[in-house]
Amino acid sequence: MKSISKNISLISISILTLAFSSCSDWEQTINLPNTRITDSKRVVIFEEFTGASCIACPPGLAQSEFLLDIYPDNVIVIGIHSKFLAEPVKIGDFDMRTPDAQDIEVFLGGPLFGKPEASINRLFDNTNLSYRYGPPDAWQPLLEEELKKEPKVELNISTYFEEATRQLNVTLDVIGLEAIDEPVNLHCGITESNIIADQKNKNEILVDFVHKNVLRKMLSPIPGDKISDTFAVGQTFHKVYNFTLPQDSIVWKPENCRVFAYVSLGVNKKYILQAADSFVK
Amino acid sequence: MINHRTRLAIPICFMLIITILRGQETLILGGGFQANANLFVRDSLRGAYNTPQYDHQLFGGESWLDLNVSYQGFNGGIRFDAFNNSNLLNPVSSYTAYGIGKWYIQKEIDHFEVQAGYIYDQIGYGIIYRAYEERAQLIDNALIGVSGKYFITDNWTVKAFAGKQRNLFESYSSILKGISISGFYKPSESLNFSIAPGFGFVNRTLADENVNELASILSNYQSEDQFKPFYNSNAFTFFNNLNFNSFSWYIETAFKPKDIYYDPNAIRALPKGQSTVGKLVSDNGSVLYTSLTYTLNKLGITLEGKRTENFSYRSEPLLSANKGLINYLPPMAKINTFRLTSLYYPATQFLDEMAIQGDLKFGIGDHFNISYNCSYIGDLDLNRKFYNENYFEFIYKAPADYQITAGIQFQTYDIELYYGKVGEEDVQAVTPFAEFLYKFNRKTSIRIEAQYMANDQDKGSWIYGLVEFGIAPNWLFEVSDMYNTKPTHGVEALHYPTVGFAFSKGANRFGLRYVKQIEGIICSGGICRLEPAFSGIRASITSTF
Repeated sequence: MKSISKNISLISISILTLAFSSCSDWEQTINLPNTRITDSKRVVIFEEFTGASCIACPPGLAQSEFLLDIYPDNVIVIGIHSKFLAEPVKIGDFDMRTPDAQDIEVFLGGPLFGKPEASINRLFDNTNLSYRYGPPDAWQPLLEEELKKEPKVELNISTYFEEATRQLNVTLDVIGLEAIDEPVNLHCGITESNIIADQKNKNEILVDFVHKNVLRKMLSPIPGDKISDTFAVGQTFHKVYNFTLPQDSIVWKPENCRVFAYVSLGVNKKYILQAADSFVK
Repeated sequence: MINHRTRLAIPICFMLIITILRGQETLILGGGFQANANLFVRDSLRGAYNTPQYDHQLFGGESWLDLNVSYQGFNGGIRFDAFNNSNLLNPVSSYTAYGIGKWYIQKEIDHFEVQAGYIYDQIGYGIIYRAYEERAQLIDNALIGVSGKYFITDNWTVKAFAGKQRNLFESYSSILKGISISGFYKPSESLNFSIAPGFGFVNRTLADENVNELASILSNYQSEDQFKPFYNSNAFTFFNNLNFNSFSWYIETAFKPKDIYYDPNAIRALPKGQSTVGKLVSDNGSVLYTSLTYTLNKLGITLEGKRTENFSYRSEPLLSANKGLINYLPPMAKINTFRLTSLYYPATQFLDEMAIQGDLKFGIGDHFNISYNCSYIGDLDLNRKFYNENYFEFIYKAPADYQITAGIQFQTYDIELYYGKVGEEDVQAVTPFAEFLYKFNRKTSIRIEAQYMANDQDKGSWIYGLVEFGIAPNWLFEVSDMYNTKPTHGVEALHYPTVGFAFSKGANRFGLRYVKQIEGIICSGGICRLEPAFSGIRASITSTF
């Protein structure tokens, strides 16, 4: 019995010695890398799933604004106000939910957990089986990984807006930079900024919050317009989208609207190859 | 979709079965089958819509088939899991996959028990480590690896394990290792005194990909929020169960020095002087849990207390909700069974919680039982009350043919914290309830439930009634309805009926129910998640062999 007690004591002392010191104290220190990308040719589509009634979403909105600040020429933020947690905070607030936003949510297979979440170039997460990523501070490394990649296509966008008729004309030109041996689709839509509506936040309501980059309308079908089953180096594709901006006292202000476009792989992969955007006016 | 684990498991199980068949001794085979099938009927009025199942898939379900084998000291098992457009993983999306969800082989050799495969185990109450399965929420965090347990004496064991945590049909990339010693000591058979002490230790080593991701995130924080990430973190626990006469006292204290975790409430600085909430932090964590029970004749008293600080312990720091949980924190509120008394349940808080619970049960004569339960849950400083419940229950068991249960529940529930409904006042609910069970004869019985919840907050007041008619041993029929008698927020008062039956024969049980169910939180052992409203038909099969 004495030897058993002795063995137990020895094991216990060994474990306690291990346990009471944090293992991190034994490790080699890891320095934080400088991840900032300075010369990327990629323009990344950043679809942020958010909502006015989502109390956890303001940190996501702050993060996407920060990403736009540091990569103004390489990121296009699209605020996807799909139905979940996106009903207006109070009666009379503008309802930012749109059928297209909901259709994009369904097209991408629904949320990982909820909101806020972001899809970054519709990169599929094989661990969580989702196109959506959270929490917000995990978005930047994924974005920067995308910015490191060379674009496989070039996408040029130009817009013409006729004030009198509110007719918008969007011209898109795609040029192949690498051979793509699978279907390629083209997408186009409009976002609007400076929409004033209350936003729920943790423990408070942000009154008259300024919402930016809210998806207003897709000009292409949600899965995209098919360009080709394959796309060769030097191959070109030309497409024009026309849309009349509705007359409205609150939204569809041309000075706040921005047209975006992106080229993606077909509906099975959905991955976005390159994007471009332009102000309506 | 048959994954690589399936390909690995099939030959292992095949070899096990061949080994068994070659033997001469008795082979014991057992197992079980469970299947759920849901037919989704869109009902936008009740919030049952806008998921792939309601919009276009219409059907979703999941099933599990377990097979366990014992032979000559060998134990083994395998489980096939199937998900077809299932909403169990995520209630608002669809999940389809098939494969081997579990397999294991276990053998004891001269006081040493070794196991490989998918291992379910825990240390103490599970505060630093618990690998378990909870199908209602699709929690299955088995350790995929090896474990060994050595029986030093009849009363003392030491066990150790190492592996990765299961993530559906894959695994998380971090490695978990642990060791524990537990025992039992009674100084004398004549003394009514014993102790059962133990100690446990768990280490988590993150994979390169995890640490690189953390480093990338932290490099983009402002300097005041930055820290250098690391691979290893530890957690350790001491526990003891003391029995003395009619008293039983359990205490467990756990520490987690310097671990990286995500704190959704921490303030993170942004450039230009702005700030946001939610960031990675590196900090110490601790849990103190204790439970004191006194039982004598028809009297039982239990007092529990728990203090939790920064004890989110996951396979990967960026995981959230119910994913990657390494540990389990005991819930500190009564698990209620009546429909309305269980409507508001407090999910366990991992980072900041102080909770106490008391439970009193006593019997009067041969037919009366009275019980009282109270619980209080708040933040560590007790500045904010999260939850408070007072529950009284009275049971009268008639000598022959009937039983009456009646009681009342008083609840305060922080709906902003638990449901994320910002700006809404705490729920203050008063819920009287009654149940009447009458046996017509040995085979036939009827059970009637009536409950009313008086509540001016959240969705308002409810009334619930249920009639259940049983014809033993095969049939059980039920009809129930839940009605929003005093809805809030200008919402229309709606009925939520359920009609169904269950047929049992031998080891098989078949159920079929038409259900309208409101949105709510479903919880199991303190782990909860928001469950959207349901409208449709639910079929279930359970079978054991």
